[in-house]
Amino acid sequence: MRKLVVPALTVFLLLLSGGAAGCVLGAIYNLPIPFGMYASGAAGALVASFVVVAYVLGAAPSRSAVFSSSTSNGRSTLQAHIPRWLVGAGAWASVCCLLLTVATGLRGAPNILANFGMTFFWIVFGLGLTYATVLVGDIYALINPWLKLCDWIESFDAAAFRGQIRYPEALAYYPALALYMAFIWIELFGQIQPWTLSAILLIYTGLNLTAAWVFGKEAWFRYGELFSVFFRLIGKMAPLEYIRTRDSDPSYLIRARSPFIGLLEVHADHVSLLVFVIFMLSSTAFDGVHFTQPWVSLFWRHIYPILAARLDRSYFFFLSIYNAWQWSMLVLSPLIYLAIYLLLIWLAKTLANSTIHLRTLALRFAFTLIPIAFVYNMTHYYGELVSQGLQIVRMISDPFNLGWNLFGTSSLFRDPIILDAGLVWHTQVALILFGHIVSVYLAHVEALNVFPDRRYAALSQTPMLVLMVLLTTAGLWILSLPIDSGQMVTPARA
Amino acid sequence: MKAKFLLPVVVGALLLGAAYALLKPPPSAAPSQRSAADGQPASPPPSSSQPHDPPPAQVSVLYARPNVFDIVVKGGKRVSEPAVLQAHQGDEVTLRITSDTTDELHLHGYNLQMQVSPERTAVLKFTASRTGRFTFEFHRIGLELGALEVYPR
Repeated sequence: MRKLVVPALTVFLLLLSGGAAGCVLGAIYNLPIPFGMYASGAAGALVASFVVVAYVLGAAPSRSAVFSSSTSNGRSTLQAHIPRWLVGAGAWASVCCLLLTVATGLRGAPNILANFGMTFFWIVFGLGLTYATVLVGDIYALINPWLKLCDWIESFDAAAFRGQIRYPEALAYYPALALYMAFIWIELFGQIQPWTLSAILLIYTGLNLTAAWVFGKEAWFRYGELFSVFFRLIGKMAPLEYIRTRDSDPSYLIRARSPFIGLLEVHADHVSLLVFVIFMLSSTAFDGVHFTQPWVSLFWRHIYPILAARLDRSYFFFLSIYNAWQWSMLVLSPLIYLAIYLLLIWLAKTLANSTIHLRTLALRFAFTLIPIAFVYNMTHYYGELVSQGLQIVRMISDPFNLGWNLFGTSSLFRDPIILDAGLVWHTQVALILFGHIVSVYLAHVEALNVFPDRRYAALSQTPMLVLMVLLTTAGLWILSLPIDSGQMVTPARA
Repeated sequence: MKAKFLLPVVVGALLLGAAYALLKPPPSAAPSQRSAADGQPASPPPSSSQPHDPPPAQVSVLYARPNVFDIVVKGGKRVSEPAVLQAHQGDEVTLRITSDTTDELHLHGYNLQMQVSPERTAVLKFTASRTGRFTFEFHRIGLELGALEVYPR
């Protein structure tokens, strides 16, 4: 019995966590945080939760007076038009970056750490733009290179991307979710080389153009294109938003608002978007744990001996089982999270004595998880943004590894900048606590909007509070786990 | 109002207590004398061309001097222990690599390289000035051998 309970409990706890290691470029230098920091961080999360709860409940005389997110509260009247030429220049620059990434993947340095395209796509775009989006809003929507390519083709054929068929409602955000899962799988298990990144980007370009032709570009880039959906969600935390003013010849208005209020201004409009948000959390958690000693030993200590005793097969067979196990857990991780989330939403509904449908409630609170998902991502990767991301300054002078020095920067950052471990530890704990506080705050504000009675609203948030304390505590715990450093011998290398 | 807060307080305290009891790590050994159990059991067993071949004999290394680490590679695999080497910032670290193949050892983060060949034990000495976790590998065959963890003082 214990043989089953221990692995099951470990899976449960590990999947509720975010943190540690694992990245396509393999250049993370984070040390596990000391246990004392984990313990004090977890206690801090609990204390912070009660402070937030007391503040929200104490500050709101009624549910709609202060916190109603559907009104203009939290928004500033500060707004301005963005020059159209600026948006156009940004979009073309984005297309050029895409082309350069593809070209350098094919003809640049073969070493993944020295290749311009690899660092640009995985670090500058994947991490840097994500973090920048939290500060400056969803600029990706303005400079999306694939959307710009559609616009450019439309200048020759205005009807090219009006769509051949209506986007099926049943598809909702599932294409973006499927692409997101593929993206994470490639990041974690794809063993990507520069040329394969180029191939993937070319295929993705073809997919976007084809899907935009079939469904129409408006529908595809709203529901189907992975990065459009991802950055739109991240951008809801930003103090700036961009509003498209005309459809035919779009121009943009920039407007200031309170940070994070965008997460309450609209709600998830489909279960697929809820699962997308959940996967933001669970994939980062899985990424954080799948190289730690407890996770690796879960299979090789608890599962492998049982299988090996019963199956007379070579080691490579069990290695393939191990890979399948890893991939399965990645795909299953959002379902486990979703089940826990729905259970706690159901408890909240019960405690609040609410007649609102469970699905409606689940969608309304979905975006309150985004800050936690974001800080998990940031604690995991921000060191890499510094150490490997800054290498782009050097690489841009010689993107094809031909000995050029186009901008005079080819000798900069030859040694990676590695942040002091103490600084990284403190930043990780602070970020996780910050994300926790924001999420707890948003969930309580949303509860005041959803439930008619403040007493019931407060009571309803007990399960959400439990969820968030659990997520935060487990996230800190996993940051303290030792990272596995075994020889992952693959058949190709053996 | 007080009763309303009582439930989350109790639940939260229980949660933290349970988490503490469940997740508290075992006391760690002193750096550079960490037991083999810290690193290796979490790893899959070494590969083999024969079904159920016993793994190669592990070479237990006792470190006579602090921060001097012997790494033994046989048949394209590290056979020495531990996998994770630990030191503190400012320590003088020595890696002594014995290998039955020719390759190039690369210590990430410090960007140190060293030629390794079967003829002699290669020695890499450096000051652990940077804190963090740095993997080292055989560059040509792409074999990750282990990691050096440098902790702040």
